[in-house]
Amino acid sequence: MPVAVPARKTKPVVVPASRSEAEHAPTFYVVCWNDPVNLMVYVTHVFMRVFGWNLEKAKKHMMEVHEKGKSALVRESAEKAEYYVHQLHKYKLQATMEPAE
Amino acid sequence: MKQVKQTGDRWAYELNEKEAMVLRSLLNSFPFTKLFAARMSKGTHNAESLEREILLNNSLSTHRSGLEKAAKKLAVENLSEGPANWLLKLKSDDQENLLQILNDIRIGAWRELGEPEDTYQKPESPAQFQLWNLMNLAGYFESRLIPDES
Repeated sequence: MPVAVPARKTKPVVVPASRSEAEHAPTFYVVCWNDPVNLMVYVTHVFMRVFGWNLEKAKKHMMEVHEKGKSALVRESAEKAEYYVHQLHKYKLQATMEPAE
Repeated sequence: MKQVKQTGDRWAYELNEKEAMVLRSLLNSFPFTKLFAARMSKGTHNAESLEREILLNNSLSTHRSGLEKAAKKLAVENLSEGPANWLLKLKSDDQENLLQILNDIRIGAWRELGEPEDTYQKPESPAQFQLWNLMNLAGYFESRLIPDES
């Protein structure tokens, strides 16, 4: 997004916003790992609650965790990924944030 | 325990006396197990991820203190004896708190059991059997609480 900066002349000088920070900031996958103890209906419920997903999407990720051992739930900035990991841990799901390529 | 009413974000469940006594006892005695350290990442371990992990564990410790207070409140204010059975009345936030409390009990017991792969296998020692029982009781109430979304 362009940013207007004050200039001595009447016409404002418009400079493009730095692309480096926003575009090159590292992103992370929020990954949920399988365990033999969390109930499947519980995991589905937590995904719906934390991410606001519908039942179908929540179930799809729950089944991926169950069958493949893990599921990458979302890809987010460090701050947001950290927030989601905290939320999932509050429900005692094993979640981590892993750097995306 | 069964859901008897749902209006908007309010739920009512009916429990028999045994269920009510067990649930009340679980809530009054929460927490049962120590708080286990949580990992923030499986792969990366640098100063930044260590700092994140410290923040996570501090946040979870504070969160658990909040759940402890919520558990006492739920036992007193939300669970009451009705004319025939016991009633558990929950708003949406109460329900999420209760689910988190129950799953804290379930996961804590499982971890103290040594994280067995087979959660159905009854342990032999009395101390382990007690933990196994806790794990299953918490799971029973969880499964009854979760709204039938399917």
